[in-house]
Amino acid sequence: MNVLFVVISVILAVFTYGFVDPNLHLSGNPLYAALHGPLMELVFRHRPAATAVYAVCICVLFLVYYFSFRKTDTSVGKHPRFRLLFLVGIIYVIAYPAFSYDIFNYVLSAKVAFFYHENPWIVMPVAIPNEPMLAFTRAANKVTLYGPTWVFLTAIPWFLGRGTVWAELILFKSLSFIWYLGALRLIYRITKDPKAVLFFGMNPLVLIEVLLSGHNDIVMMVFSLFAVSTIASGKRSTRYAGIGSFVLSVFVKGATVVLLPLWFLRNPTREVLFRWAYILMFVIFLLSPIREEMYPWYAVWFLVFAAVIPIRKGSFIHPFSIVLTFSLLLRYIPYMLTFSYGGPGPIMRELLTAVPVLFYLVWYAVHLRFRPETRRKALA
Amino acid sequence: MPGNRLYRVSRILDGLKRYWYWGTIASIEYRMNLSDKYLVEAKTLFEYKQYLLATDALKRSDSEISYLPGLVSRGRSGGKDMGVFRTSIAEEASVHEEVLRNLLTGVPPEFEWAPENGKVSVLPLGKLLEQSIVLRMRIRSQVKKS
Repeated sequence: MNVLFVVISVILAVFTYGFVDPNLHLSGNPLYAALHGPLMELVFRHRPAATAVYAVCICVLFLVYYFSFRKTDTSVGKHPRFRLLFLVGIIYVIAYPAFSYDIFNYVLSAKVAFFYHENPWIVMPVAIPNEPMLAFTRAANKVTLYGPTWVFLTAIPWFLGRGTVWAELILFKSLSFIWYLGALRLIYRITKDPKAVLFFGMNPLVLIEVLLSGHNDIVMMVFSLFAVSTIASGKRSTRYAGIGSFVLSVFVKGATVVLLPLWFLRNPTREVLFRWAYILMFVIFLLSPIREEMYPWYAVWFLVFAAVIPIRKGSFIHPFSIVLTFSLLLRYIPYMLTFSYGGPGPIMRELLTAVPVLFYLVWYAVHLRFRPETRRKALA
Repeated sequence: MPGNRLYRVSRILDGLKRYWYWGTIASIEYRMNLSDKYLVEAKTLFEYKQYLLATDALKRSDSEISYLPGLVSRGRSGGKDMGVFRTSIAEEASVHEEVLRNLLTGVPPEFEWAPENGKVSVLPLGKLLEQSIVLRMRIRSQVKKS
């Protein structure tokens, strides 16, 4: 199982290089050039085949994830799959961010702030028309959408990368990797359950969106998870640290501001806090189409809280979250097939997301209806 | 406008915003906005014959627009293509000139300002307006050359 997970991850990582933007020259290395040509040919000229490769990789990853998750014992301590996650994480960090251009915006905003010494909340990258990265960055006609926590964090990879695009991509993804490892450690510290760590860490959506695409939601969620975990703490200094962490979280992306009411609950247990946090982040996730679109990486918002809710037999949250994350990764298929955001793409995306989830909900409802002992346990 | 309860607050905020608009491009935007704002203030005050306050607003507008050529040079030496900003500064200066020429025809060349409990002073309105026009002409040619 572990070998299969690594092999499929390597295949997916190699496959992503077919999506390299035509205006981006990553490397002059002959081995890279030899691989890149056929991969681009596959992705741009044989779209159904490329889409099939992607779909098969996702399905296999989720199957391995599901069976690994079921097989994990609950012994405390180092677990072989933690080393697997570290190895797989490195594979995804080296992969090309094929499914989202956001990381290029992160790099360019960092360049606006730390190279051009401009205020990234006022100056859009397009205001510097001779900036070479504009050739392969999308949505450069926007100021940075992120708060100071994220912008100042990006100083680290920016200065280390010295402006080289390839180095910057790897370093920005490494930043996400470090926060991903931090999330795993925090989840283990809270739950003492290796299964909880695998639930989050091995989820293909987390691996793809956090490590492969390098989205910064993981930073926001590590801060907020720590913050929520301290609400019920008996130590005042811990609670103050939690409040500070919450503020830092809000100043990454803002979505976690909805967790503020949790600080006003009377004597909540940790589980109650995490359940409410899951619900609040899930509601914000559902409302995200109002602002723009339901992006797959937004699932990290509620998934991190699902990981710290005790995983019990008959639980609804955990299998539902797994099914939803699977269906969210299917949203890339219409664009891969058509290379267009218009036409049947939007409706196909919604169907690919809704159908697996609806199937699961119907199955769960039927399962509850005909298994009274399961229903009693689920409602307990 | 002067006389409004929040005028002092808005002036203080205008000053504080300087620290938020750091960098050459943001500074250009900041200075252009303030130059426009104070010129509109000056124009309104001239029309209401509040010449003392009007000349003060005009001086502030002149001060803000004076920063622009230096900022364009700094941006260029920082490796930024300032073409778009040169064009918009030149256009702004041209619009300012038109407004100032219109004002010049409607105000007396000099005005004796006699406050109730103060000394009488002579405001050289015509000279001040002409100086402002010349300043903008100079800025237009400076940014076109840079």
